Amino acid sequence: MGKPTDLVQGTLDLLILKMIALEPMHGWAIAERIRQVSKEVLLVQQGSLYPALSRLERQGWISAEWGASESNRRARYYRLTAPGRRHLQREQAAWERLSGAIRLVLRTA
Amino acid sequence: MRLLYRLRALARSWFRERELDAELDAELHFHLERQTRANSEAGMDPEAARRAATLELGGLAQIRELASEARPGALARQLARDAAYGARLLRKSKTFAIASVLIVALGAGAVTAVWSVVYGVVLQPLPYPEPERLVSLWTRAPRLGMARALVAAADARDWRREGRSFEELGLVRPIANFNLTGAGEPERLLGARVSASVFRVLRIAPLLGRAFTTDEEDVGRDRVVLLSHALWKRRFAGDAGIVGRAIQLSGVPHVVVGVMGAGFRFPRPEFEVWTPLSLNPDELTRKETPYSYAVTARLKPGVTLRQAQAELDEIARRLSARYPASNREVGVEVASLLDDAARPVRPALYALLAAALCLLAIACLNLANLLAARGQSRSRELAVRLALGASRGRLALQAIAEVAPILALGGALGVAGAALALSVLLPAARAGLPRADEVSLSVPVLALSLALLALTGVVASLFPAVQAWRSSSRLELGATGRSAVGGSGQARARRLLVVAQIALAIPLLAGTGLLVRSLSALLDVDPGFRRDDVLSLHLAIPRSKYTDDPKVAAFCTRLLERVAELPGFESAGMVNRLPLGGVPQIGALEFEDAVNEARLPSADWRSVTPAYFETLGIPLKAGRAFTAADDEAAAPVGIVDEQVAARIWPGQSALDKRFRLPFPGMPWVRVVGVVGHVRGDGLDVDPRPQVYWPYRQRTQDRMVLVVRGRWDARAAAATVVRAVRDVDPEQPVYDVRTMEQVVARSLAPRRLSLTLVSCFAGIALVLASVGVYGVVAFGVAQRLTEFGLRKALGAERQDLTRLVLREGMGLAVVGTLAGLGLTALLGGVLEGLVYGVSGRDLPTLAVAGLLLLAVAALASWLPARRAAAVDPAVALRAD
Repeated sequence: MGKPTDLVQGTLDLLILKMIALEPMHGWAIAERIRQVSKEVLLVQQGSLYPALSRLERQGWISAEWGASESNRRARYYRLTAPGRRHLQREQAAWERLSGAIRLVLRTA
Repeated sequence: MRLLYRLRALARSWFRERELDAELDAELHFHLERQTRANSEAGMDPEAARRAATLELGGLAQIRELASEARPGALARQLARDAAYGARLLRKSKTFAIASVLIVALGAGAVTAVWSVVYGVVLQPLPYPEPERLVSLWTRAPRLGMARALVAAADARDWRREGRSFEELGLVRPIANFNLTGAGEPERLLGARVSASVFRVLRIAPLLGRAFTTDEEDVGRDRVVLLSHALWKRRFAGDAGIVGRAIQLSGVPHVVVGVMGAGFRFPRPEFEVWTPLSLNPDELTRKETPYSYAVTARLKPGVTLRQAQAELDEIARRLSARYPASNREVGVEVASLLDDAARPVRPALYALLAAALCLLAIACLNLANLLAARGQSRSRELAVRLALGASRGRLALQAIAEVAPILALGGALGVAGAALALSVLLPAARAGLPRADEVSLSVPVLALSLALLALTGVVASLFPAVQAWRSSSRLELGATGRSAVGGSGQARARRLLVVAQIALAIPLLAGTGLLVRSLSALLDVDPGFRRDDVLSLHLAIPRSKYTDDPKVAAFCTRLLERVAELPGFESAGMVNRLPLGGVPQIGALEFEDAVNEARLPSADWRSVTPAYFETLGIPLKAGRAFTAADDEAAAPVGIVDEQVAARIWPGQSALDKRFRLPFPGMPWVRVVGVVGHVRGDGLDVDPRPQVYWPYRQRTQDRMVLVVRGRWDARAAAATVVRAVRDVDPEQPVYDVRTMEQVVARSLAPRRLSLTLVSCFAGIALVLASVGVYGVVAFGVAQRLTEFGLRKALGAERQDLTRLVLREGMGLAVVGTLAGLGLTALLGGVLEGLVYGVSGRDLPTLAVAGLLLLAVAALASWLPARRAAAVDPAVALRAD
């Protein structure tokens, strides 16, 4: 695999929160899903993923539980907490405003 | 809600770190497996699929490290690990461990012990509600010889009546002797007569029963008493039924109305009973104005000391104008009750605290030096870690955390040592130290000690931390420990540390010298009486039993006759106040035919039996001593000391001149003798001259028996006490001491300061010499090759010795000069604490400096010998 595009730290957090907003997921699935959805543009390195998960858990946005994976192995599933969900909404709105603004500037200037 | 999640995460990461690590491992494992499967599903063969997945995952350990750092409390856990590493380092090098822990323990112990005394005696709030509003009031009349004296009853009443600053004001007659008789040995109790308002001022209620009522201040209704907790436990077995019962005090039944709580130590801890204060009507009309009451008052809320003082100044001015006879030039001073208690000992205590802090600073510098030495030999380790990717900040932080175990061990040891020292020293110091009972290792005491300890740690580890910060990976890796050229800056810093230690040790050495000199000057002071072979014991003769003056005097006579029958007896006398024995009896005097002043504002009033002068060896300068013929019926006679004679009648004979108490109607007394002057208050102060009356013409009921014999005075005590009991089995005696002991007791506080300061100075000297030794020895070890080379080129042993000695002595000289300068600056402060010697006494300073130089010379001579003995071949081959 090629060198992944570097992600701003806050952006990775936002992506992770968004990925598990629908249903609890384990670490590999989160990375895989981001890869698929971004059409292989965003490649999350494990060295960033797991520390990020730790950090989000510390901040109380997500919580983790052990569960059975699709192949019936034990995997750690991350789910969004209620404060995490509100945080996601705020962050997503902020991001959309920011990226919209940037797009506007790039298009007109 | 979110807080809850965060707390849970924190708790998990703090307490179950190992579990979390295992979970992360399992999680990463799963990730690896899942990726392998995904790869094989994409068509790779199983072996390649696994390798690709492993490659992608990257360094497992690194992820683990990163994830663990992202967990809550990561920094704190890291520091805890560093501290544990520090502890392991300590275990590895025992000498360093013992030295550094001992150094911290000595510094922390000294500061904790002295600070606990300073806090307990000077700063700790008094044990009463809203203690900051409590004040004491004093008469201030310097022109009358009363710089700070007790108060007259009428003045106190008028201050209360006319002043608006006070919520309540109480009077205490601080000396009252009571002889407790009844069940058990007769016992003399120290009591205070107090106005009923005192308990309202202090806002303290008895533990049992009630306080006094105002009408109990009337004569006839004042036969009631409050007992101290200790007395209640000791004499009445803590029986709550004691309230309402009568006990015999000085032969008079007093009804116990209450028992005070254990913490009630008013006005001082040795007081055990309190009775109501009934005032003589003459005192309230100012017909007589004895200044004999301690006044304690409670300010109204919001009133400051300054406001109260201003108001009282105004009232005192009005009283001066209204009653010129008694109140002219009589002022008043308001002082906080807390400050008042500690006043006599405060300067000495602060000096001791400064000495202890000085010692702690030296210990801190020494520790810094040790750590720096260790840091120098660990520079390669730092370089390796830096090369492996540790951040500089991380290394610096680690240097600080590694010191923590030293501080913890040293601090604990120091506090334990302080507790031990207090338990040994406090009982000895009790006599000279107010509030000694309230000294303890309390929370505020330990808090400050802890803060100082932390500060010590930070300062001491600053050096290795800076070193870690600055260390470069390139230079040190290439160099072997010995030939390292780096660190000339470090060596300079270490030398600076040693110089500072020496500079701080000098004031301690000089302080010790000054205290020794002032104590020996005091021991050389002639108190005016002989102290060997004389035994003294105090008696409070009850007026209820010996109802008038002749009966009291007759009791004294009988006592002297009985004592004279003892085998080995030489001479015995009695006096109302023993020199150096405590509170003096002071008053004004009026003289006839005076050359200069006809009035002495204050002199020691003494009533004595004829053989008193002979027994204490007070020399008769002119005329005669009293005789048995100077009795109630004879013409009034008196004796003055040489100072009175010289001051009142200079150039004339004092004999046959007359003096009297300065009240109208008092009889004139003819001077029949002149005796030597005696130091009554202390060896270091001499405020007043003395006059004497014969005990049968001015009888006192509180008397001290002094007995001299061909015996060991200490051993004779029991015999003499038995002789007193033969005369009256109900008569208690107290404060039985030889005159040697009386003198020694008056010097006890100075001895204690000297002991402490000399201990501190000794430790400082050892630490300073260890510092010099360490720096010089390290320098020698580093330059061993150079010395070998010099020797090979023809240098003699003594050349090398001189070379090394010069380095050590250079440090010592600079440090000593700086220390002497520092001491000279402090000289003014020391001045007030020493006697008979200047605070900048040159011989003392010189001795302190020379002593330090000698010790430093010894400390650098040891490594110098090693340098001189170096074998050139070995030294050159070593690299």
